[in-house]
Amino acid sequence: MIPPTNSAPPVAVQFPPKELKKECEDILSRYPTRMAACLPILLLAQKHYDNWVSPEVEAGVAEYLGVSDSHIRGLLTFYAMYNAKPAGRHEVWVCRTLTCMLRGAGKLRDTALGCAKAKTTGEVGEDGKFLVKDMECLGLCEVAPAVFVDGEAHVDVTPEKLTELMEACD
Amino acid sequence: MGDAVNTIFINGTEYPFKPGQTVIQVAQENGIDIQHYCYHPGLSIAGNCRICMIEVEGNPQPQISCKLDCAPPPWIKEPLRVQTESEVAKQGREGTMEMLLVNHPLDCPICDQAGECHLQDYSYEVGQGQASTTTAKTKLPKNVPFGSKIVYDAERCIKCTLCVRFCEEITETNELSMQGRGDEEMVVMTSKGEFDTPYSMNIIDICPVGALTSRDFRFKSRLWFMDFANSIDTSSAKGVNIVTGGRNGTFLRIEPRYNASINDWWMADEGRVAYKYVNSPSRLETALVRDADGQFRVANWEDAISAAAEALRSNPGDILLDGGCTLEEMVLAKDLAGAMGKNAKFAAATGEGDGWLVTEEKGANAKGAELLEVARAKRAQAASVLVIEREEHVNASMREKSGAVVVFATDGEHVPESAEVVFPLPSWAEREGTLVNIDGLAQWMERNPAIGPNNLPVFVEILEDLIGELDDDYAWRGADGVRAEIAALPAFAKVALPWQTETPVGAGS
Repeated sequence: MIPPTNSAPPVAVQFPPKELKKECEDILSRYPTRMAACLPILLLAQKHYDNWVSPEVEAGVAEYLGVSDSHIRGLLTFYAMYNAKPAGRHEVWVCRTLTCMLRGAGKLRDTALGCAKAKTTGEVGEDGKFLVKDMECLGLCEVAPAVFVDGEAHVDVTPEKLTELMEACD
Repeated sequence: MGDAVNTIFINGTEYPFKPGQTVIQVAQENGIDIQHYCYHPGLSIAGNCRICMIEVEGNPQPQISCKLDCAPPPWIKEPLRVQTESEVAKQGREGTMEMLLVNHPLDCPICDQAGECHLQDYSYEVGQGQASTTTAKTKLPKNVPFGSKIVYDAERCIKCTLCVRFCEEITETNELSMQGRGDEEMVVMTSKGEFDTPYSMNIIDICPVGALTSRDFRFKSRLWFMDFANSIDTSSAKGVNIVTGGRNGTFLRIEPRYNASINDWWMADEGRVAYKYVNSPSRLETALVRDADGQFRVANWEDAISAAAEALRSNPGDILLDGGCTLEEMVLAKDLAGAMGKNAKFAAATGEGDGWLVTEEKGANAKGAELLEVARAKRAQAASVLVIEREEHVNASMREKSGAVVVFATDGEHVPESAEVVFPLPSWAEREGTLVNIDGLAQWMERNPAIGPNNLPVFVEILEDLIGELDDDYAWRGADGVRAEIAALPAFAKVALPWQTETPVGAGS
């Protein structure tokens, strides 16, 4: 028996919503084609819709930019900074590139997962508070290891310091 | 400006190129084989598999030939000189191959693609036999259904994106997309739902590895046990070029064959599964003659032919042909009808078309019948001879209403009550002959000896024998004689007949 592959197609949200209209048009004016504006528009959409891009938003953005849903899906899953799944209230990025890893980012990752009560990176913890994500080079190699908590950079992080940082989040 | 460079040296030989052509295209045109996965002549160039590495003289690093323009940069007035087999090129390919195999499972013994797998072929040529990585292979989803016809294996996939580009550029339905990146990248169906484009199964053919397999064909047979023949799709009148594959009498699969003037590299899913009835358990294998007590008994060919002639003498009537009969068969059927003083008609279904490779007309040789002046039969056509291969062309009520006494049928289920003599009719895959497609293009259909029951009589020969029985002055012509006659017909003056001209050979993969 062939299992059903997917449920009904998502209903596209009206994109852009009123409050984003001006910003979207501003972004579009800076790119030669609508397709070229995919990344900034998606970031904008993610920020607006609870820090993640749902299939409905994905369809709305695709419609707005005149590209296929599958193109948007490809971008969402390729770039680490987009969330294609519901995100937690706080986001913790742990760098996993060479310098940080050599300076102990592996331990930071474990610490972050422990604090977030999550099994693996990319998944929201049990209490829905934290989303821990692996990141490629955050550009702070000289003060490695680096961690971003809610978009704010922290350098020379130790597991103790990270625990402190995460506990300070509400 | 001056003269633009319009030649390129490949392995020391100078070849001309047209503007915009890339190195791999010129190489293929001139019979130089460059390994490739993500390049397909019918799709856009992605340049992501990196296996088509060649050396460009003057460059220390190898470059990919699929995306390398043959025209050098404008400030260079010399033609490019490339090497496909030099040490640099080989090292480039070896390195790429090692990377491609890092996460590829070694399941060739159970993989359906084995035998026609480019990864297998190329790793045999440039593979190392020994990996320098010792980490465990990445685990990815296997046995993922893409709609009801296709199964996807993300571990075997080498992420060439051919299937994604096919859905974007050929069907323009965008069902597939690449998800993730790095070793966890894979093809996924997007949220649109079912993968239901009627051309979806083409992605199985273009997949260079065993990542996309046909639910219909998988685990049926190893490739090297099968026989293949170049044939024509008879499920529609477009005349799509195909390859039939069979083994030990069983018809196993249909794949498209390149023909630039009809179907390029593609075919519709409808035609791919149009072979099932050929494997029917109720296939006729012997001639049957009705006894005095009304029961069919098995007869040898001579007895059956004389019984058929007897039945036709006492019961002369029209001949009702299946719309898929070849030109040769139609000519002989016309002659047989002529010997009785009657006409030959053909029956063919009509259905939905899509304006591309599926036509509304379903009779594969309907255009040929028109050229031979064989008319289309009425809904209730009285006939004394019935030739029935496809159920949809001559349906049950038409068969019964025909009142045919001599029946040529592929399937025993299709024999009407009125039949006195029944001959087994080989299916289209087991017959050879000429078909004229809806656009008037005559094409040769090859017989596949590995399909169908053994020792079936040749349809055209039985037809000739029957004419001989009915007409004492008949001179046997053989299929070649019939073909010569067809060529001499005024209606065929402008039709290029395949046995007269060289069969067009495709340059595609």
